[in-house]
Amino acid sequence: MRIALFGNPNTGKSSLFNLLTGLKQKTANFPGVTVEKKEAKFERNGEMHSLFDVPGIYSVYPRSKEEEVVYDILKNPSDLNYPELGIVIIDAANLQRNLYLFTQLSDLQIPLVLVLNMQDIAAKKGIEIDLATFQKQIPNTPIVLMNARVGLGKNRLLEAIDLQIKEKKVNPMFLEGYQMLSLEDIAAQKKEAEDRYKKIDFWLEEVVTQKPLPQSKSKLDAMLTHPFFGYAIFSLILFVIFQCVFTLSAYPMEWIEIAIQKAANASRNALPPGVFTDLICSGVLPGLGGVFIFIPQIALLFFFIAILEETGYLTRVVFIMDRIVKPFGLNGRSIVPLLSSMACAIPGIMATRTIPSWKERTITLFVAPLMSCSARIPVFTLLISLVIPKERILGIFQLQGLVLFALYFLGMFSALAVAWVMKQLLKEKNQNFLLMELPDFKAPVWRNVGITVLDKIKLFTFEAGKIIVAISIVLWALSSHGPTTEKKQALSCLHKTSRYQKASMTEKQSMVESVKLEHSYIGIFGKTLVPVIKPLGYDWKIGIGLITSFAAREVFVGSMATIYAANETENNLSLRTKMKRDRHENGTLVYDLGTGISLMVFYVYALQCMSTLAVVKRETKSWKWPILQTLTYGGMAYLMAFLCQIVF
Amino acid sequence: MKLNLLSLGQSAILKSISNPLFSTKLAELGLIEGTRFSLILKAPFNGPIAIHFGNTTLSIRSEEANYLLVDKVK
Repeated sequence: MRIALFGNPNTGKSSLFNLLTGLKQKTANFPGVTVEKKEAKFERNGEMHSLFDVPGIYSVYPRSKEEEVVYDILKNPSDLNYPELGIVIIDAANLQRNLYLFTQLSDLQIPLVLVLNMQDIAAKKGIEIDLATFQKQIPNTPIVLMNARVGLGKNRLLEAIDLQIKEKKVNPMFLEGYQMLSLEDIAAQKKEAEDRYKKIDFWLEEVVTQKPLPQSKSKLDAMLTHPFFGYAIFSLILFVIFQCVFTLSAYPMEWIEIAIQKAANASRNALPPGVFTDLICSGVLPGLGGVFIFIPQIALLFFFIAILEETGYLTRVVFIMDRIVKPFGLNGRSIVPLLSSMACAIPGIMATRTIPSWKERTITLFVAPLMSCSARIPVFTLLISLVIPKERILGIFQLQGLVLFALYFLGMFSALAVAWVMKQLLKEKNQNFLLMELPDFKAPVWRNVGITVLDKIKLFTFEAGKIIVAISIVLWALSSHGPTTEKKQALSCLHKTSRYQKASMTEKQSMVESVKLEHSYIGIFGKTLVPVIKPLGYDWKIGIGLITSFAAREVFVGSMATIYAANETENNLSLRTKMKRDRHENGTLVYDLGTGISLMVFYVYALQCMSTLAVVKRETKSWKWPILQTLTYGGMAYLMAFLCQIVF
Repeated sequence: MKLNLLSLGQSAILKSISNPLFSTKLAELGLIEGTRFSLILKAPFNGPIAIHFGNTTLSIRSEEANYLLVDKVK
């Protein structure tokens, strides 16, 4: 049987879903739309059932694109996702508003089970519920008392589900002859709301008694939304989070690096030499390493974001930030997607689904890739260590750290600038509002936090990971193969030069390797790019790096390692040293200050991430936006890099 | 008077909403003409406001709060 879990936002719906399904849940999309559908199979009395989570809604009539999917399913009883049984979770502290959705679903004659959640909080607020009377009023819907946060009442719920699977009982209609209205008929929807609430109020008079309690004004809320303390606290929280993310992730990242290196060495020793071993050790394993290396940062960032979300603090962030980002065409709800993008744009862009306005959502996902993601960190750190001296400014600030900060800031600033331009260009398609509930503060449910983190890791590993690994393999193939005749010619030319003949044995070898790489497919590719990138101060090796990292930015470091590793004789030198010593043919250093900065700025802008493009295409259902992004950011990257080369 | 003119901590009764779609969405949340509520928070720089009714705290952008006509409760 197909069972759906319904509920208002902030009622503990995801706690309940996680409690019922745990790690068995799988995330997919509702067919044809990009709305997440969490689903799990479970067995009761020898029968298999599937339970899926419906986006949190207040009414069957949608307020956003995401909610429209629920309307579409419920409108059409032959829909593949039309529920045969519904579980409706309601917040005991807010029966009136929660019962609105319940009576709508009940009037669609779907057999239901009602979960009355958070009665402890209701009791604290002086709300008493007469359960016996309540049950009499909806005789055909079993009411289950639960505390989904701590996991109380799970067995009672399963028994109630068993009962409804067998009996499939529905309640008498609340609104006689109710049928779902069309989306356009706003007046009738309002009439429905008035009629329903009148009935619910009448009905609740016998069920709920509210003991008068002294009105407690939330001092915490006043503090968190204060014109000074509100922003100070938010900045402080952000600062602590990013400090933790970057310092704590350094350790597991190092372990991952070492483990991959060991695995590559071990398999090189264990396997017979040949193309297959090369593929594994130089193609597949480094590719996998390139994926795993990001997991610690993504996991940590979402660990903190999930906690902020669970406690209800994020809604206060939306509340105080909305006015600040609105002039840039963004929404208070854009803050979380943009912050997530500082770990990885992929989960960030997917998080824009919570923005109800088409225009604000499009702008947010368009500028999200400008937020400096963790894939840029290896590129930035390598280049900073090459061209920025290890100095202190004013005795306290580390110059290298300041440069990294400036790059992050440049990304953020550019995101706002692009957003502002888009605001002037785009026309809003639908009327929409920022109508958001500010829920009570709660302690986080760790099960929910854990499941969110796992979910994001999975998302990153499979969405971005497959592309990164595939590109790494292609890269390996192109750099280890090339047209043989040209290579032979070049080698024989080299043999004739006096420079080669005078050189020592080891120097000879290194020259040969270098020539071989230069004449691989990838070397040829990089060289054809030279006329275009020369104004930026880049050589053919950087050209190779740019091309290969078009798929994913961090590949740049890997490519550089591959290119410079071809100098087998210098293998004991680090990549950094090899790059630092590298010179143009005219004898000047390749990585001088101008080139270094120009290259870093290039990476601030260029949309060098296939996975982002794929996700934007999926989220907007059109190639228009990813193509526009590539062109806009490609152009900006080139222009800004060129300017830097001139200035520095 | 317009909701925006209400000051922090004051209570009011909703009289009417001049935007039909907004009015419908608020009604679905239980904020219907005649409902009593209080203004409990104002975001800085003329940002959103938060009102409390029943057991719901709802935030509304200040320009949308202009759609709401209310009667102040003494």
